[in-house]
Amino acid sequence: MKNISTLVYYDLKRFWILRRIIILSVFFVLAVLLSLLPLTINLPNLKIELNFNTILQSVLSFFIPVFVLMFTGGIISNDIRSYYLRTLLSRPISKEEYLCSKYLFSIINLIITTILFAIIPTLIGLYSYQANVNLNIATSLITYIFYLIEGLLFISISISLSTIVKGYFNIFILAIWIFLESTLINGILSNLVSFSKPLAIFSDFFFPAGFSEAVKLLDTHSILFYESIMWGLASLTFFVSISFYQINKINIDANSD
Amino acid sequence: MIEIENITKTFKKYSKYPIKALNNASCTIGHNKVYGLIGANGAGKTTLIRIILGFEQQDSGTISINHKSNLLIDTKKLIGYQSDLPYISKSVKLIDYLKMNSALAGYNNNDSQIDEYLVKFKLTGSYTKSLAELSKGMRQKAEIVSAFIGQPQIVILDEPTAALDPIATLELREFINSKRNTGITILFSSHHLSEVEHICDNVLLIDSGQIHKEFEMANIEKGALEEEFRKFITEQN
Repeated sequence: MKNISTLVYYDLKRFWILRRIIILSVFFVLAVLLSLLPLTINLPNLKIELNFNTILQSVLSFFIPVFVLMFTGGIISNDIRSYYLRTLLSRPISKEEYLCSKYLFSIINLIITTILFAIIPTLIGLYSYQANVNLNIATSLITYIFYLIEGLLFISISISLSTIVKGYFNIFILAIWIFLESTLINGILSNLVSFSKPLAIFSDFFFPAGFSEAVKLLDTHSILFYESIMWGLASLTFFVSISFYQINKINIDANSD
Repeated sequence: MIEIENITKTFKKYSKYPIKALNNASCTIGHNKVYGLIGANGAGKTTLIRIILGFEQQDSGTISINHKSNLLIDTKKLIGYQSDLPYISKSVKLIDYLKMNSALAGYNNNDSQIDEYLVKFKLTGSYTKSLAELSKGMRQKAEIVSAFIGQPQIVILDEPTAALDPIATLELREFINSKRNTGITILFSSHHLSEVEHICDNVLLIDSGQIHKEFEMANIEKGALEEEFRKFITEQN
């Protein structure tokens, strides 16, 4: 555990350099300013009621894949290319500890950025819209946790890809993966998928959206809610296992003679 | 002590031209000595080092360090390694790199040793610079420092003088001499015979994946290693 925390600490230090902090701070300020826009416009009082949880779902479903792409692109392959992994593994740490540190690093970044760029601007935006907001903290917290686990699932896919493909190419593949899930599988082929059981299993497993599906069914307490969680967990286990299998097969000297 | 027994490693096994990098290589690297590893390009020096460090898995044979497998984490705690391919990063400062290496070696709050080595290797003026800002020679010095950080019992130096200027080379020689009597075993891989001759107690000659000869420098006259090496090459041809 000590090695993992050391690796995460230095990874965060390596990532959050001044230039990146400034750029993201500018984006954060922009997001807050945009959220405050409704206050400056004389909006008619429509007396509408907004459900924070529904808004949170749509915000997180957009931001989480984007942030995962940002933080995990080339996460392993770049460490191999720059000989960083070689340096680390000459020390008394295992490949598994290294991989755990990458998961922890990615999830910490995901929490920081979703709070800064998704949750805080959404809350400010709702306040400035002066609408009646239906806010249930417990439900919103569960929604957030479910989306974070879905983020972890995307992280595991990205890390698995990063142990297979070189450089930043895994961002491209993951982006296509997510795009296929949202368009082809959930859109055009959704009817086909619902008619064919093997196709349904294939799409649920390889294009997982179990946890975000479960959030939508949170209030129903139906069997589908638990089924979605199980699909999510199955996919998560599958891709995490692939990443651990691959890291043990990886050639850390791939770039040397 | 490193015991290497009948190590064989073949790359591209199933291709038309498999590369036998190591072919039943065996040797024992004793305590408290500086060992040189010399050989031509492609002789198997780097592959042997990679296998000792666990970067590569041998096809057959065993390696033990102090009678334990080289792959155990506890065994890795005994080893310091200077890579011939240094890590270069714009976002990592030299001081952070050394602190990280120290922490991973199990030595947190090791500032006094880091400071001592920074002074010794004349890196004090660069400790806040990023690794990418350092010159090639300075990067190599940083790698050497990180190999000696903590209290390693075995230090593996892979071409440590390749990018060093003559003064830094002499300083490294003095530094290794100072470490010689502290119980550290050093394995020193190099192409420069004169350097190996000056620094090492024993020299292993590797060729075609086999360790052909071990010279004890105490039994060889100054300057004779080159002659011995030349003789060996002529015999092989």
